[in-house]
Amino acid sequence: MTIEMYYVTAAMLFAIGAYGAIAHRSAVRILISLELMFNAELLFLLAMASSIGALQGMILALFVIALTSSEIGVTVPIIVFMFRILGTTDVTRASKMKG
Amino acid sequence: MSPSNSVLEEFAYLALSLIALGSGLVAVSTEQAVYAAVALGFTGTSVAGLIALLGYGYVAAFHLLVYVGATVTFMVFSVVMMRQEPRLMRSLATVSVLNAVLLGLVFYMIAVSTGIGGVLPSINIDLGRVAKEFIDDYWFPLLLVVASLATIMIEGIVVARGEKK
Repeated sequence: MTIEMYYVTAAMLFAIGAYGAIAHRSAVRILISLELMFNAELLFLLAMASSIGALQGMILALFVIALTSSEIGVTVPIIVFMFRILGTTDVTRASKMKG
Repeated sequence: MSPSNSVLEEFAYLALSLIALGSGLVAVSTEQAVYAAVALGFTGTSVAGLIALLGYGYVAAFHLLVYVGATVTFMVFSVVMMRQEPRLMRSLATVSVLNAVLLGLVFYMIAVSTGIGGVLPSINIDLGRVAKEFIDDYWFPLLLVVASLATIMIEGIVVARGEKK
């Protein structure tokens, strides 16, 4: 087993997420695609950290996972409110929301 | 590591990678957002397995408990409340495929250019040492994370109460 194999998986997962984040119009689908990219980044971070600093990489990964949970906790209610106000999750119509 | 263990590890890596990538494809291509959120859960589970294979058992457990167990489940239940949503932006689909491939290549090139590679080292990190590092050296980021999670809890209560008529 080599670290490069993990890099390849992370790169492919990141590419799939990037495709979804750019191509979709729905805020929910964009968020899901961004989460795919997060999973790729986490795998990449830990694969790199296994060679240059396992402990620091582990601590950073724990922080990143906790903060991503917070990010979803903020973003999903915003999407729910957007759906309540506009009746859709289409990001091209998000400018019609009032503050 | 014995040869049989090495083969088993490679098989596990291949299986988990295929599940992660396959679920990722389902998440971006399926019509229903609920299935996409569930597929994200499968991707998260597979990535946790890959993290465990790297030697970070505690991070894998944390990823499963916090990310897949709480966050993705929260997302699935939220998505259930919404109706059918808009589809792809067809005009951007081709550009986004090209962009995704280029991003993947850049991602890989960054890894290759740093020169970090080779055979996976075995990792044995004592959890007590991690806890000591958190408290001694990383107390401020830890405080910020706790504050942000507390904010999310308050926000959840506000959202659950809804608007007053």
